[in-house]
Amino acid sequence: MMKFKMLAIMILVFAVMLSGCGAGNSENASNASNASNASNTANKETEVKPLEQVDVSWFTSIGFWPAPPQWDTTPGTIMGNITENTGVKFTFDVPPQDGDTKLNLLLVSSGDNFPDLITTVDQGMATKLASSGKVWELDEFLKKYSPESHLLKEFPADIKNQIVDTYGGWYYFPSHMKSADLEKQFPPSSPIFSDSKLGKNQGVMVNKNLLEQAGLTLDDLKTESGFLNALQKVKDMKLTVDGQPVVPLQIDGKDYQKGGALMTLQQMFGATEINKDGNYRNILLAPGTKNAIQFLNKAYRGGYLDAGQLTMDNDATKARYASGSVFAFVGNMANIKYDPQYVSPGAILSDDGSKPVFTHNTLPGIGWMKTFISKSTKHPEQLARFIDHISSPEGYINSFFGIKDVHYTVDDQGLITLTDKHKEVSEGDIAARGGLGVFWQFSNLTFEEHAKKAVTTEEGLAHAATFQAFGKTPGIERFNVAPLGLPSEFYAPGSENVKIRDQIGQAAEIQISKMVMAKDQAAFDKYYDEYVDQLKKLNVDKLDAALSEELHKKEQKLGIKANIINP
Amino acid sequence: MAQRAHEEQLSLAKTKRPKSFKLGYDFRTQMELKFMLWPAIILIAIFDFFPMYGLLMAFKDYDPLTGVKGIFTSPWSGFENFMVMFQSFQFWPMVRNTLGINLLGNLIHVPVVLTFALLLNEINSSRFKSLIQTITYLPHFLSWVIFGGLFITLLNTDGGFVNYLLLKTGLIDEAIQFLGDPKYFWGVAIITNLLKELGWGAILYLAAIAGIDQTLYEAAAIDGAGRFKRMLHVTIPSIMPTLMILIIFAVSGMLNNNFTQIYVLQNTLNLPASEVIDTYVYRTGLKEFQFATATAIGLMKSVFALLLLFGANALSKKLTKSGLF
Repeated sequence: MMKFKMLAIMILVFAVMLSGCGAGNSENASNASNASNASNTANKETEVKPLEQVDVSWFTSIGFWPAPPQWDTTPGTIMGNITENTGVKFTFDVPPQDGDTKLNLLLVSSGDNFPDLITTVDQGMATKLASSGKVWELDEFLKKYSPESHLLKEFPADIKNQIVDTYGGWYYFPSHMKSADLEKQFPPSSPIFSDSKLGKNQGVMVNKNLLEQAGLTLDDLKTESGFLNALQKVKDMKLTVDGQPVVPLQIDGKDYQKGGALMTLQQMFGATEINKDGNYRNILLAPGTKNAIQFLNKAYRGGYLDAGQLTMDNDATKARYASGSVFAFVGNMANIKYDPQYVSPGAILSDDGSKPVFTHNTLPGIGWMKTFISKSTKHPEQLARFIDHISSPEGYINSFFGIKDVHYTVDDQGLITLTDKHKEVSEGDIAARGGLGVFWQFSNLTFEEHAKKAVTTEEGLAHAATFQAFGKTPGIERFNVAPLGLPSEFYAPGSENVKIRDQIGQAAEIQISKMVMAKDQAAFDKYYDEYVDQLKKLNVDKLDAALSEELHKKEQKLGIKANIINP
Repeated sequence: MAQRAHEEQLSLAKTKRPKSFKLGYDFRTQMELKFMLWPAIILIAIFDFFPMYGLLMAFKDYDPLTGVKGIFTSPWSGFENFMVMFQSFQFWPMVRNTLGINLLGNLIHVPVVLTFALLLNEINSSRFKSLIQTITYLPHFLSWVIFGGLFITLLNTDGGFVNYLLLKTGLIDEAIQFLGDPKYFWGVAIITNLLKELGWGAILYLAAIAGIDQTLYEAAAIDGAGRFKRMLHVTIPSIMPTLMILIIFAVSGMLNNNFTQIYVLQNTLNLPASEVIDTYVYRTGLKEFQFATATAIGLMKSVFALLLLFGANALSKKLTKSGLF
């Protein structure tokens, strides 16, 4: 009897164990089936065998790029999906500053330890990389390691030709792609997107609440003197926000000369590179540039712009702007977090009657960020798979829009709308972002306008209005910069052109700061004369003559004559 | 007994020593000491002498992308790289800034540190002395990125403590651009360096003071010398060789700036006063990828530093009968 009981218990235990295993198997089978389905969905266009997971290094010289601190291979996550589809697990190297300097050193001293992927925004650095023999020509690379890649057939020819024209080969993957060929593949989902051509990061934003408190309207800010008077009024009123005194004018901080306030004002005051004879003239010597510097000097002398801003870093600028105590911001609006409280009056018109200039390029852009693949990489198959994947619609959707029904929804027309969760995650902590929307290196603006539903929310429209206000200023002149494009050999590393350009750049950086901080008009005029003399001594005319030659060659090639505006 | 052995050794050495110097004549003597010297010699050979082949770049039209091989294969360009340097609009300002910051810095640094060491030596309470030493040593161990960052914040026009204090006490009417106005940069560089290195710099003097024969002080006290007189007539003359060596080093290093310090405190506003040879080399060589020009500047700097070293040594020998070599 005892033996029977023991036998019965053992059979029962064995049966339970078997059923447990069975359940486990069925659960695993179910998970595997889901994963397989997800994988199948992701790879619906091309059936490819999975690649071994490998660690890949990615160096980028853009210090503020929000690289994921840790690569997460968890299936179903954004990074996990990338790894599942391509086999790559990235380790990022993002020096907070002087990234291109570090890249220079890597270029000459790293040997076979050169990073697998390299991203830079600097054209000079891109030229060095292209001519270094250390990076792949992408056609050759894809043909060898991913002959079925959609990029070999579908990469927009107009963008590719521009890159080849400039660098002598298709050496890198460009970011923020937008072109006519691309639009043929991905037409915009709404005519609203055609207005995006009028958008620009450079602009002016004013705090609505403070504007109202000061009894001003946007119309009061549309001219140079009107804007300065408004700043004076705000200063005199000694307004405060949460106990903090209001800052009448905020610029980009120490980068104000690099695509920030100076460039914004140059465009508003009509500075271009073309002189009255249609020849090249360094924009630093254009009358509009003098007016732009003079404007900043007036703001400094008036006490609206504190000199500390000229040495402020981007984080401090963002923090001050985010505090709401800034009345007006002039500069690169993309460098600070958009706040719907701020609206734009459009261009500030120069008192001397110069027309504002809206620069545009009829040729396709060749990428703000340029991502190269190192020839020394030990994982070319995985990298080929990665660029193929992230530039494909499904890979792009995963990386930029996230997980369906979490970060985005799809309507019955197949158009994507980003959810509040997407906004919350995108604006949140980098570590918690999970890689969502961080791969700017592969940003494809044309595809976004094709896949996304045009935003018609109040905030979306306000955002668009702010960024397009400058482009929509009445009387603005459109200036096509296509003829100003240069072949990469013009600024070949170590060449005389580079030496002159760099010397001019350094001298201008110092002199412009001196002019901005000039104590009075006499000092400003003296510094300006010194500045012109200095640039002349540094052979600006010689460089301009060489640039003129290139300009005319390009004009002839393209059949486009560069506009003469405010000569 | 010991005295006799010593005399025998001296006599042996005298008989063995050749009249003229001959390399390796005493190869087998003091082997233990020589053995200890080898690691340092090897390190210097590897890290200081071996890389000197790179100096060739100064005379070549060198393309960094050609790597080490290119140093030997690139075409000769004579003194072209030196000409680039001399023709640069920043050449004279950077030489002026380098010499100005160093010369004024040393003129202030040496006497202040020496005085601090002398005063520290006069403190009787060992606990208080240790406390002062610890506090003054501490900044030396902070990196310039942290220490410089701290001063950037303190000197800020927008809420910085120094300006706040000056404004509140009515000493100034508007905030001073300590790091924005070039005329303040040398002062800021010199004072911040002094504050950071005061305690550390005093160590050498304190070590030299510790080695002074105490009987000299006793004799001076018997002769009626007070503390100040003993300091003036015993301490300072006794540490003069140490002082001279430090001055010789300071003179030979006249063209070297503390790169990290200057780089951290530098910005576009103070650039006319803050661009020194070292930051220019960094900017030209690494940022602008002109290795050959940067090497030419470095070489020129080293040649002048060597001349300064010999000059300062000769002067020191003439004036104080003590020198480095």
